Amino acid sequence: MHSISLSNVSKSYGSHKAVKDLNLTVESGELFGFLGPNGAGKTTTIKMMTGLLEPSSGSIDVCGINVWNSPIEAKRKIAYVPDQPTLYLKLTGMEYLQFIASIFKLSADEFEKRSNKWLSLFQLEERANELIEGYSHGMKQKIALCGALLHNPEIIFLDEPTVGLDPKSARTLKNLLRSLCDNGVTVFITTHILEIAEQLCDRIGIILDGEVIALGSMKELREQANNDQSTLEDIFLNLTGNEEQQNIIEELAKAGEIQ
Amino acid sequence: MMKLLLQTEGKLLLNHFRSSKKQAYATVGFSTLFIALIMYFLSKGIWRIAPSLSFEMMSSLFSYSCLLLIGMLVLMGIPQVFKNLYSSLDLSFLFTLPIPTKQLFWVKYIKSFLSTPLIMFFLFYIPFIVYGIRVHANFLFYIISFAVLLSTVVIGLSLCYLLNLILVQLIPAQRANELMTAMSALSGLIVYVLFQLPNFSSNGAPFEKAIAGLPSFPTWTPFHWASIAITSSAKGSVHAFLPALSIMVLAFLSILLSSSLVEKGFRTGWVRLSEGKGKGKGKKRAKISSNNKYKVHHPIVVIGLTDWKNIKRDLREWLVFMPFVFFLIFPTVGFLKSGATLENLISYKDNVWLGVQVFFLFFYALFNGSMSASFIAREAETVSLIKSLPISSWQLALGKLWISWLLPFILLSTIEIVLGLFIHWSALQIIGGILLKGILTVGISSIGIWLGTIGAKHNPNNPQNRLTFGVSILLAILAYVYLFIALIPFALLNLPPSFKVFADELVGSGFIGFIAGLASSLLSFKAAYPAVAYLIGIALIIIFSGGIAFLMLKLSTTRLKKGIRVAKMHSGSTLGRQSYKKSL
Repeated sequence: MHSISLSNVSKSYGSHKAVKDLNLTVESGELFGFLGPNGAGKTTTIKMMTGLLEPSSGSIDVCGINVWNSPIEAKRKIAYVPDQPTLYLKLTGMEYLQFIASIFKLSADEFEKRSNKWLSLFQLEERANELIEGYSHGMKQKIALCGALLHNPEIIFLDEPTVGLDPKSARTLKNLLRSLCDNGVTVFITTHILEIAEQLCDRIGIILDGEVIALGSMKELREQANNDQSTLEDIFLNLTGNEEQQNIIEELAKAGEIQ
Repeated sequence: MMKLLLQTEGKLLLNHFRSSKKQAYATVGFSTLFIALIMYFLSKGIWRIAPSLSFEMMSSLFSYSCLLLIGMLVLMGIPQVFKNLYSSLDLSFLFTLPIPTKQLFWVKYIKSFLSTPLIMFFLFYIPFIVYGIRVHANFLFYIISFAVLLSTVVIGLSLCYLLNLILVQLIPAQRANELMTAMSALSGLIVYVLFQLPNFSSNGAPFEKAIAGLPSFPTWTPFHWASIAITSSAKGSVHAFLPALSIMVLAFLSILLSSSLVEKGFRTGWVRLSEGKGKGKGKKRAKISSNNKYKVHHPIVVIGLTDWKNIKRDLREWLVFMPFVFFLIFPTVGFLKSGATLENLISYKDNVWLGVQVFFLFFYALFNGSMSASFIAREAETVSLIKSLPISSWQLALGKLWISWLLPFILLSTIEIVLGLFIHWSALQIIGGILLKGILTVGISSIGIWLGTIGAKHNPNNPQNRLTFGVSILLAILAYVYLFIALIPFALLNLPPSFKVFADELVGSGFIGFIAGLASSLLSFKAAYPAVAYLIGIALIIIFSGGIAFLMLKLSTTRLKKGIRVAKMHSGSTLGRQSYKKSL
């Protein structure tokens, strides 16, 4: 059984097709990077996988459960941290975790143990009793991550998780994600920071205009690009049509309009 | 530069209308129609009574008109001007551009003037014209009243700016947004009280007598000048010019005074408030007690508790309890004014109990539904969190229902217990009354939850306003229909059989006759079989309220499962002038 499975998934907004016939599987314990330029359909896809958007057609299963037909069961298995975490600003960090723990029906002991563990890892213990509205963006991101990890999800969806994090927290998160995957948790991550994807991900999918245009491990992507030395940035820019922009920049430079 | 800024504002407004849906046009159309209707009836009334009012009698009314105009402008304008000056999203952009602060200020001032103050001006000037035509006033009347009213509007608006520019330097930055929302509600309360004032003092005197009896203003006040200017102009007297000119000079001075504070009050004030909204630098960290042992609750319980924490920690949310202020103040004032004593109440304690039960039920009908409905839209900012969690629609609806039902129940029950202790009601009366209303109000709250899923609205600048206009009207109608039906078993339980005599007197055709007939039949039945009547009454109340609650929650959960849409609005800002929808 695949951890995540998308079959012929499409999403349309009026006449605009944001995602076109997407077929994708992610295995258990895999760290999957989902890349693409702005507006390519990454967030739409992740929102469909987490039950926030209904696919126009096709089906999505997480841990063998159809997300749209059995949303509650599916959501018990997953956690989602969006790029701009939505939090109850008038709750304290600790109260927010208490809310999440109550929704997932954790025992008091489990809640105490796990909340302490994650708060300590992200160095939030000192600020856990302050209202979230006073947190910086990075701290909001961290408390959202703590909440996401609290119920030991089988799959974690992260949309641009490193945005706003300081270098130390970003490193902590990267190490944590790797360690979670090594212990069987599936992580589906979108990011614009290609170095992270290159270093961290087991497999990478590149989406453009709603279609997956490349899929595989770094090695497989290099093979597809016919260049052993290619970085992910080279492959990405090559596939997503950066050449035109590069030519324009060169022309402008020649004409002396760029100094 | 100012021309460019004003042109841009104009373009933004035009584009806003171009991109608006038909609904927005309909709203503007209905609002215009509503104002036109008010103007029509007001003018018609003035046309009818004008001949019986001499210029001398009207003199004090002119003064009061100017007072009312300034009063309403200040009350409505302070929050509006605050939004314009400090919470417009465009300011963070405009302040980065090389535009002099004074020019930005004047653009804001002109923008403010072209909204409510201009409408208010016409609302006052048109009745003046109607009056002038009816009494054949001299042509000077139209010019002088125009100048006086326009100057009054400018004075009122300048006062709003002045108060804001001063207040922003006094209010702690991190509370400013909340405080201003609270002030806007208080403004409403003060206007309401202002309108009530004549009722407290007139004792039902005829209109003309009331006008003639109005106390006049001291001669040094601009309201007195206004009255002299307008009255003299109606007679074509040259005495109109000096007071009119004085008011115009005063208006000019008030503009000068407010603009003198621009640098300190506007730009520096905005910077201070922006710091207050920031991430913590210089902001006092709101630390909540950390000694509590955090418990894990059932999802339904934790949903309600989260709502409660949101309410108690945001001053703006407290506005939901504003009806309680009216509820407490006006009956108390009415009671004190009537000259009645506590002994009077105690001697009729059973009848007072019955009256209080009906009054409380009416209040619950007015309040519970709208409170519950507002609990749905509160999730507008956390939609994606709620949707990504394993919360069933039943859990969400029940979580919202219990807390929205409990809060007013606790408040009103406390008032009822205190009242009961003063009036010496029996324990059975107190407990029975509270329990009955507790059961009945579950139904009203559930209607609110359902309508909350239909007409949820969210405006981050005005978070307490959470229901679309049409749905809030529907809610009021449904709540009263519910109450009307609920009163049947309630009457069976609580009306003494001796009331049958009164009911029999009213029996006849028509709606009242039908109700009286129904009450008479119920009371006959109660007299014959009291125990059975009580049992049937209690059973009917439980079945009715429980049944409605189940039905409404079922409908709510169906809507929640499908995904409801929360209309999310940004107001009071140029760049953020938009309205979009967010699904829950």
